[in-house]
Amino acid sequence: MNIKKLFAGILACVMLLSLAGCTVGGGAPAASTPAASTGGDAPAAAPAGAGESSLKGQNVRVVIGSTSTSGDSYMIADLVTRYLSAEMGFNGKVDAIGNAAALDEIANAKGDGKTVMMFHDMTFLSVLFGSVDEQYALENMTVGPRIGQNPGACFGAAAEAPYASLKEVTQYLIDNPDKTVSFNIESGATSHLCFAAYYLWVQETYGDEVAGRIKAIVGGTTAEKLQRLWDRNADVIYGDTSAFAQYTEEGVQDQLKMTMFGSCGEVNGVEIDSMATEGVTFNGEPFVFAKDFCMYFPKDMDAAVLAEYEAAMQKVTENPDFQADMAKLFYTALSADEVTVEASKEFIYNKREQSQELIDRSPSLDSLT
Amino acid sequence: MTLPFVIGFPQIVVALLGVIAGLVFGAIPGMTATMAVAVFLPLTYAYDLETALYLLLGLYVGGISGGLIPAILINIPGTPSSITTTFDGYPMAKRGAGERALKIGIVSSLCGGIISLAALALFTPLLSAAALKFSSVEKFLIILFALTVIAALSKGQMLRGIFAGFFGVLVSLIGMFSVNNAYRMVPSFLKSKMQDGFQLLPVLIGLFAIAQIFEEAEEGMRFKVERQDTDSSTTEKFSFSDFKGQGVNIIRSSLIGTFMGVLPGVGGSAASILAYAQAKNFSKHPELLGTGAAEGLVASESSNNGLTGGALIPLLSLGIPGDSTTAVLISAFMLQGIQVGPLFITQNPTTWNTILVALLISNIFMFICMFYPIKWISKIIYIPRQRLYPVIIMICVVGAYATKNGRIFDVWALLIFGVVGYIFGKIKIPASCFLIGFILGKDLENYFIQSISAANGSLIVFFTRPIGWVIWLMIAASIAYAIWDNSKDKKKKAAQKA
Repeated sequence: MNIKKLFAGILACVMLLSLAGCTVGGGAPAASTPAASTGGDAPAAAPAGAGESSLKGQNVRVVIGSTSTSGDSYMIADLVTRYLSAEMGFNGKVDAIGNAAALDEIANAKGDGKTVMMFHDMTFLSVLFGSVDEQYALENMTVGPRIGQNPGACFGAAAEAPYASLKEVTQYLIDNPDKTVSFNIESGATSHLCFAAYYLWVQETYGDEVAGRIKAIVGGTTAEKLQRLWDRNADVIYGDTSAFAQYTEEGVQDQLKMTMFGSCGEVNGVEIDSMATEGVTFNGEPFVFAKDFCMYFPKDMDAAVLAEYEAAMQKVTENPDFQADMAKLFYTALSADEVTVEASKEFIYNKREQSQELIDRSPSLDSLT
Repeated sequence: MTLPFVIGFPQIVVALLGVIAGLVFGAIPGMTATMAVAVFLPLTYAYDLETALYLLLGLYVGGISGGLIPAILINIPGTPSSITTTFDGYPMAKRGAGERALKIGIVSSLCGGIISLAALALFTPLLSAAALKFSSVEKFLIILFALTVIAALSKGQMLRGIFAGFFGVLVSLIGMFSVNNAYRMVPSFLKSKMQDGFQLLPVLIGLFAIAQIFEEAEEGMRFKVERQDTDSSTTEKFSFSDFKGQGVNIIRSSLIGTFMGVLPGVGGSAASILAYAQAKNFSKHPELLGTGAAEGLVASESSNNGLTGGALIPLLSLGIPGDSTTAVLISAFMLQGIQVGPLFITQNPTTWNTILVALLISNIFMFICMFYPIKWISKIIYIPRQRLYPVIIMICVVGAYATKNGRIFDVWALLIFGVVGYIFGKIKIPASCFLIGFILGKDLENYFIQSISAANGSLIVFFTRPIGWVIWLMIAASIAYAIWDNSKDKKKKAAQKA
């Protein structure tokens, strides 16, 4: 064959392949932000379900508000997508595109159920903290079924630090009036909210002087926070128990060794005191703020398809295999009643209200850095 | 006898497939090793951990290596870490030595990969301990040091180069500032699109590929037809004697790549930039680098493959990924229920040994898959541009579109930076300096802020650490050398004019 014809043929094929790559839902997850690993055993492949729904055989794009493929957002979304794909018969794929991009995707998608956002409380926190516009408020989307909970976020400090709990951090500040303790958190995220709750509790209980010596260092992925802790550039960091646990074990070198405390909820299988059991309160109530993951759809979502998602999620969450897979990753599966659209909407809106109150009362991070 | 690692026919097959797929991803502008690993990650659900590692490490090595093909043949870096490959690779291809340049690049890549593998196998505890001594202060200074390559690259037009570099840094800072969630230099209607600013790949391929196509379109077809007539009789043949006198360069560049990989968060592109700058600084004929010297090509390719073993060191010994690809790789371990971190090697010796073997096999496959068929691939340069360019544009658009999983905004960014690159060419502003500033800008700011926030705003922190002093000396020497070299060059030109 003439070499020119061969090249022309190859080039034509390349063009065709390129066009094929432009299909909706194609593409790879973006370069992920480093995050430390989580533990647990491998989740099993999703079992075959009924595979019946109006989306049967269709491609469904699941976007998440994180760019990491190793964080809890990806792990939960991926697990739920695999079970839902089997239950509803669609081909689901998780794309880790980040918060602003995911919100934008949902704002502009058709309400046919082929685009779903699965993400945690940052969906509404990012609006409350002003990091995205009001147009992405919950009122402008459809809150779908909740999919699970991660109560495992916690604080961590170097093992050699003179404190190993939030109570001890507070006591350290009381005993050492010339010392400060810096907390590495992310602005506008759940870590920001949990930090604010602790700060307000210290302020309320021990006064401005002690609270004034709690400082914030803002920004960074889990990996970057760990490095700050190892450099001793931050005294306390915030992350996931599953990411921190390995650094608490025997045999880890001194510079890396850490303790973890003050989880945002009760974590099954992990020995750790939660913020609530450490006595941290907000509005007189023990403070609990586990990360709640939920499905979000476009505002004009087709009610019939939404009902199919609801019914499928109810089946998935009651599936013992799904529950076991969630437990292996230290996440909490919900009951069938909790994942209904009505209950989920009420839950998420209430949580937003609670968060709004906390944000209104907490000082600006600019004054704490 | 039981082997201390896992290997078998299925593992060898998946490693080979991984390398081939990785090479394709690396060779397509806009597609990267990170994307290759991410795309194939779901496949590993069906594999055991060891087989998954053969596939993913094959993709990693192939993805990093494939970038040299378009960088050398059409002056478009296939991956960000092959930017410096264009500096000498493309001039070589233009003068008819494309096949030779590719083979030099491939052999250098193999050397880089093997040296970094040796470092991974023998010195992981030592290197991870060294990495822990590099705090945000040292990382900031290392990035500053990498930025000094701008001075070396902009010989004869240093002011323009420095302007372009700082402009690149400025553009990299567009987007949301994570410390206070405030948007910088972003119009309100673009907030949702530009939370993370401009993405590297559309900027990279816009500046290199689209701008070049604009320029060549302006020149017209007549010139192109003449170029087609470049006879292969003028082709310079590859020989292993091309590496005579390059031993130190290979080892130095590979080790730079490895060590930059060891430092989490410094980024792979910085490795080849730094290695290239050092090759120029230590060269007996620095004036030849950038004009098609094998020395520059060797430095670039051995350093970016040196990164592969290096980036695995913090991942496997600290639980912190060394670059964006290993950050995706971590998911493969998680899906198999394995924790990577300080206890990984002692608790999983078989997996650890398997990683070393898989990396070795992937490097060998990479060499075989590239070195022998390369004489056919190198013929791309003889395809008439009017046929080749539409395909390149198509691939670039797809690459840009895929950057963030299908955003048309990134295609616009590609076009915008194509125009920017074209204008840079007209007013003689070096696009490579802009790009280096753009690549390093975010990390520069990040580590600067981390350093001063830990020191309560005091800048003294940059002058108090012994490793920092050494890097400051290197920065000063690099700048002084560039200024001296620049003025010597000017004097020489003035004497020639007189």
